[in-house]
Amino acid sequence: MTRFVLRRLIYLLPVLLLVTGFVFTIGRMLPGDPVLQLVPPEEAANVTEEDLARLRALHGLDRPIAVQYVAWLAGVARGDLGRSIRTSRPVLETVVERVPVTLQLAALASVFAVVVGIPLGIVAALRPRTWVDSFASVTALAGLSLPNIFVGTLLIFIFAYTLQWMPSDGFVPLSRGIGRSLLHMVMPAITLGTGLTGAIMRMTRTSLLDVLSQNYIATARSKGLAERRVLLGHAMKNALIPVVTIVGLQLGALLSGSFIVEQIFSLPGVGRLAVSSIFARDFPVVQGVVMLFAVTYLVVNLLVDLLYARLDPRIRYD
Amino acid sequence: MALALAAALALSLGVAAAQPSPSVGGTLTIAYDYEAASLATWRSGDTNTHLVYMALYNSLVDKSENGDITPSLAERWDVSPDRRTYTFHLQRGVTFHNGVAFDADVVKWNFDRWISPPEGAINGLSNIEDVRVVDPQTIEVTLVNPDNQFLILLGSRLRGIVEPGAVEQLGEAFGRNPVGTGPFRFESWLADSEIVVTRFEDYWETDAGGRQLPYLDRLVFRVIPQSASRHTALVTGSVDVDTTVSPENVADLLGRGSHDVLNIPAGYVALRLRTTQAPLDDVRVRQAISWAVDRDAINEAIYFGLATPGEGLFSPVLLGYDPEFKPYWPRDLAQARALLADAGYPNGFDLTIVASVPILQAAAELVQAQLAEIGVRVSIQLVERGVYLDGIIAREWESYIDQLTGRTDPTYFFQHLSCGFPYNGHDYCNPALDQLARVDGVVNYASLNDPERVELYERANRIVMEDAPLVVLVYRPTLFAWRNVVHGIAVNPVGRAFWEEAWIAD
Repeated sequence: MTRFVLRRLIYLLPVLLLVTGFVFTIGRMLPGDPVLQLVPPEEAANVTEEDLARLRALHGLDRPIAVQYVAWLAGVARGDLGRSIRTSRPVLETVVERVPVTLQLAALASVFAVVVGIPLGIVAALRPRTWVDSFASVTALAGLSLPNIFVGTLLIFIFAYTLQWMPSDGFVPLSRGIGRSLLHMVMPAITLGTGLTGAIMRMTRTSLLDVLSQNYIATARSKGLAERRVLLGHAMKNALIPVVTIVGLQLGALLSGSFIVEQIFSLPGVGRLAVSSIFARDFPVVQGVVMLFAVTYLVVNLLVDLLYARLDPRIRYD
Repeated sequence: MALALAAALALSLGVAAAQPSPSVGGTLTIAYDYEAASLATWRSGDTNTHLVYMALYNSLVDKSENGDITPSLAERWDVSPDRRTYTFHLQRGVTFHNGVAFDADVVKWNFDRWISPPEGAINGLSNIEDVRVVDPQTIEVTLVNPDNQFLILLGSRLRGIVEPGAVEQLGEAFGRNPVGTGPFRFESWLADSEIVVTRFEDYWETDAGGRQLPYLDRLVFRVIPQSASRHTALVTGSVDVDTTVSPENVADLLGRGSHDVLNIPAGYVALRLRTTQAPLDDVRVRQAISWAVDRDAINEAIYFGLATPGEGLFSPVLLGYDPEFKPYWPRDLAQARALLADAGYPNGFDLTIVASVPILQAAAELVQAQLAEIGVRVSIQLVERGVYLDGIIAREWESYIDQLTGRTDPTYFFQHLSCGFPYNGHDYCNPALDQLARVDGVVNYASLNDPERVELYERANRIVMEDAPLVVLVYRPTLFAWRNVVHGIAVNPVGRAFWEEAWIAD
């Protein structure tokens, strides 16, 4: 087990190298010059080509891409992710301060998806091919198909603009009051969670239907176990394995969804940092965000694998 | 005069009765579309950062609501006859937010830093020969050459006076812990969410009635990137002021009767043409395009009638605006076709217009339809802002549609057309125009609104309109909106808002 975890962690390195190298190259091959965006238009008349060249040199942008990448890697090895071109602040600090927002958003979205998706899936599986099943399936399909931007805008229009029940924007840190913080997160979390809800519901339904038709369930029933025990004690435990996979796999969707949801609801998370940094060609910050997302994705996948072993004793890693 | 138009153009819905006396206290929440990158004056200079700078810093002089240069930390100044030496007499009794006293040594330190700024700074000053402290309240600055832009450069908050000790101690971290002499002091910053500043109790300025400024307890600058979300926030009262209102939301706001909208036609939207390649190298072709565009239709469709259709280089709030001079007005398709035929393109030609933001893409689509009427077949290319700027510098775009924001001074409006200027994507070069820019920089005007200067600007305008490297479409509206319990926000022609006299009626 320990060896398995260690091996997986070592695999992280080449993957990270590939991902960051790829993004590094792509970013710098894109047209668009970060230093041009630093100069405010009012001052443009005072800026000469030499000034721009000095700015580029200052950020090392005048060197070949490979040299820049190696310099960046050397920095990372020392725990130094560089400084933002736009703000001059250390990248690590810039990225890390955004993490709680995205973490809270993704966690609440997952909770929403699990709390709504699993019961819907169970209900649908227990009453297959009835109106309950159809209703749940259509709901799930809608959740899967509607883009975040549509759901978010719709929620804002109904609950913030028209009814004025909910705030439409802004972030309140947990430290300033849990209630207020959650209130501002309700609509974003639902928006981000709808896709996952649909995926979880469908997977729960399919997987549970499959398990319920197996012999050991018939055995459990014939022993006279209450239907409740059969379902929760026997069926669900096995039916959940694919569901856990889905949650893990969908993490990527949650992270990329945060790009859009944080924009719609004005949340200062990592996704919005990524978007604004890409537009400003703030390469060091983009690299930092990519690193963070890649590590998160890989670690969560590892955790999912480990969770399998807990859910299914037949699975062992050695 | 043209500058007075700014106030006249304000669409105010509330009854303009005599205002009651200001109430003190309260929090004003201000929405903007993106966050200040840094609050260090040498680091960040975009429009939104300036909104916060206006609360934190004072400059030696100000650019007031009606566009004049007015005293601020310098209560008055003398200019030597050769116009190279400025003697500034400083305000007394000014302290920084951290209690340090403001005096001539502080000002000299700031000047020295503008003259030799840190690497990558955006607020450097050249053309300064010497800075000398005469006494604690007096400082003398000698320029290498006379320069009419000098006071204007000092009036920008990029040259807001910062506290030397704090800068030396904090370095770049000053950008997150700024110390100035402004009406509000920095309190907190939640990244990409909100910046909070609170009343500076020892602020030096008083209002006309001798009352201590500022009136408000605190300002909260909140980032809301989407215009629809800003609108919702303003309508529901979760913010009091929106500094970047989208034109499509104005009718809704005014219809509610609970909000005021301020409209400043400071900058313009123009179709820019690269003048060095056929067919656009022929001035007749460029003029034909200017005759063929329908400026009213663009104003109505894209700006909901809130822009000012026009074609001159200077907008209605700027010096040099000439309401009588309309060389391409009204739209004349026959004239346009005749010019095209004359230039050898009776059947039109293909033209690519580059745009970088959706609103300008929409404007480009209208231009596309309008130019089709004279046989010009337009295709539109939407690129992202970084690509767009690159292309301008590289002279890559055959034509591009561009919006210019308001400037502190109209000079830039023709300076950016000078030969070889980096942002002169027209690749336009007319030595007569460059000569005017040089003259404007050094001639000895009695004031910046000198009739002689007005005349020079009118001449510049005529040269550019005749050569038509750009087709000005409309003067774009800079739109502020606030709940109508908010009073006293003064906005100058560049769109900088003064917060010290803002107050909220209870």
